[in-house]
Amino acid sequence: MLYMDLVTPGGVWNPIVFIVFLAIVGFISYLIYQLGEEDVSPAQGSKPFLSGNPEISKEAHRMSGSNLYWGLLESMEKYYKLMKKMHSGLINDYIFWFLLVIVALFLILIGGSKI
Amino acid sequence: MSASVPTNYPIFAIIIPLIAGFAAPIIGVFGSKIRNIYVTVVLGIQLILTGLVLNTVLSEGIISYAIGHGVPVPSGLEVPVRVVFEVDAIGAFFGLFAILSIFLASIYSFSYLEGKGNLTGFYTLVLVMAAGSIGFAYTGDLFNLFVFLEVTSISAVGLVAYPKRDGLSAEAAFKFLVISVLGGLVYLFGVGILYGQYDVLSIAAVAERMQFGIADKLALISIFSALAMKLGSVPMHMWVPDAYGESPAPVSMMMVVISQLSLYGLVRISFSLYGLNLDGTTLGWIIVVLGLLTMFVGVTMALIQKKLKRLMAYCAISQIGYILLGVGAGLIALKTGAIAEYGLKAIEGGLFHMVNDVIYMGLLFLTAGALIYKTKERSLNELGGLAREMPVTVIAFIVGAGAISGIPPFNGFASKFLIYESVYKINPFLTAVAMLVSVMTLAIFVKVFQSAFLGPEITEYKGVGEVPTKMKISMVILSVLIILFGLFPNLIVNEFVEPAAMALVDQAKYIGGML
Amino acid sequence: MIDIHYIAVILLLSIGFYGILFKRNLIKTIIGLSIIEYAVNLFLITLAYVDGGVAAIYTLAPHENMVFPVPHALVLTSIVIGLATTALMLGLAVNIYQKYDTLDTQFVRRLKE
Repeated sequence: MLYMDLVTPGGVWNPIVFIVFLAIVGFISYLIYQLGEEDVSPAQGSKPFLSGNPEISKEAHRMSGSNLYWGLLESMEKYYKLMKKMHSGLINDYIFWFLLVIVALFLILIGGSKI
Repeated sequence: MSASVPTNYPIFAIIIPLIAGFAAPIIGVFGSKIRNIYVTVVLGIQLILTGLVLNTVLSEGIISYAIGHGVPVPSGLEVPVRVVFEVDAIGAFFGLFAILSIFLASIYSFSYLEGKGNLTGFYTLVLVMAAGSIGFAYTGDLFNLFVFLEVTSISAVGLVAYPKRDGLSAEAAFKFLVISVLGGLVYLFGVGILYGQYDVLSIAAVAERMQFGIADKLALISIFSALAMKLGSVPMHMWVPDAYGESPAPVSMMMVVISQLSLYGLVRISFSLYGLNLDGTTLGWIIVVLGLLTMFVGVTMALIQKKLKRLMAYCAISQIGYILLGVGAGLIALKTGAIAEYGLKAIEGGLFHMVNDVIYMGLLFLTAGALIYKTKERSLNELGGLAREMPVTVIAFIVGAGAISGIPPFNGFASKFLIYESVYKINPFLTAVAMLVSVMTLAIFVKVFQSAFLGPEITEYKGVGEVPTKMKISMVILSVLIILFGLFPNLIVNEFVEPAAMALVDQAKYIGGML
Repeated sequence: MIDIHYIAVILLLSIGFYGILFKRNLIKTIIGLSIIEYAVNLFLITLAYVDGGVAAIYTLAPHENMVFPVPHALVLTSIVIGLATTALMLGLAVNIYQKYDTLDTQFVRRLKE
């Protein structure tokens, strides 16, 4: 048990030890990095090959936020269809959900048996 | 009740901003600079007072403060016609952070809202909201809770709709107001049932006489569901992205405080009012299930958002889920007797996360505000390459994103770690869902970071530069707080959070503190 | 015997909830909320009611038969809060009408998903 320990039911968490560990790992990685050849620079690489098409200018070549995770969202399409239906933006629906929760709580707490 | 000076701190922490708020239009005549100094000074005084209250509570135990006196009726009974504040460790602790957040948000708003017309009314509402939130955190009376709930809601609605004055913010404010009014009325109905049963309104007195019959269960349902809606728990969360997303960034930060206050009210009702009187672990499991739903639905909805602040609002919803999970696990442990084994740590995790959430959600909303302030663009798809222009904002964003996704050594990790390890003892599935949601949160913020800050420079944003100093100050203070809380979580937990959790668990002490 | 006031409370609550659930006009939503507010206020007043009691504002009134004063204070506060919220809601409805040219909730939903 060190001085700065945060005790949890299953173990301890000590950020200071973590940072020291991180620093050691970083130092070792730096040493390994130093072993590499010195005269390799990115500029030596060739131009990107895009199936023979001309390279688009850097400014026109942008990945916007909604392009990321496209595959994941596509695979969860059914879930999102349901969710979009649920988030209708209608104030009446907001209140409907509230009433539904009240009814559910009523059934569980008063109607149901003791768990 | 002795009227010695230290015990008067709680009432001054409410009265000073309330009077100062209504005096703000007079000060506003002298120009915006003097008004800004005035607002800063008033909130600073309130911050000091809440700090003193916390200090007093930690050293001397519960402060109970009564306004008015018991009126003796000739027939011999004494009618307790008075308004009572009962400040224990959790109320004092949370009050301090609520005011700290409002203080930093208003410093930020001095620059952010500059040139948007006459804002004196805005600062009146800010000060009234500060008074209301402290009242909410300190009160020991069910009806006063309702009054302060409405005070904070009404001022928050004004803050959402006031600065922008366009259709979308009016719509958001209207939805939020309908939800608040309905929630407040259902809450009041529950309070009425409790009053009809026991003829008292103070939380401690009701808790002492509680029998947990059918009527008490009805009251629990109304109060619980109303507060759950106000804090934005799924499936009653739909107003949250509207209200957070359309309000100006500093107001979003204050809205996080309002949600957390409702959460505090829910925790207070569940533990101090019902607590040991509950007839099983049902309520605890209800809170846990709501927490799981809130986490998962919040984070998956955030994944498909295109507007930056709406995305962050959904993330704020999913973070509320963690707190519900921790607190619900604590309530289950309270009834199964495992409180010493993992229950107390679960509650500590929940409460610590509550404070952390106020800090990092505030910081993230402020960075979003910085982006919107400079680019006038609310959609994520149109941003890009801003890391070159805004070095302070990007560092603040990285710190906030790290904290919200629970990356060590930021503060979010410490509280999430406490929650993970405690709920694991109930069911490993709970921990698995919580970790999955953390991973998805990280994925979302990687996306935001990539699309807002990285990528090639966009010509129209070339040379927008960094935000003004006042906005930077708020962001830097919040970042420093995140790093400090992350590096020394044990100090915060042992000094502040553990007394707060003990105050919640020890219902008998809360009742005794009043009588 | 079931008190008739409680039946009135339940009726008013149902009417109010019907209004906010099924009516598509924002003004009707506000009216529905006001009706719920009256239901809650009536409920609180009913709690204080004593058959044949006198109001608790006379010092020299007979003390045996007096209505409870606390719910009256609560209702007074609740009415004031209700006034403020209704005024604010109507103000926002005016604002929405100016910007959207409609009060139909089907069209006041530019914020969704």
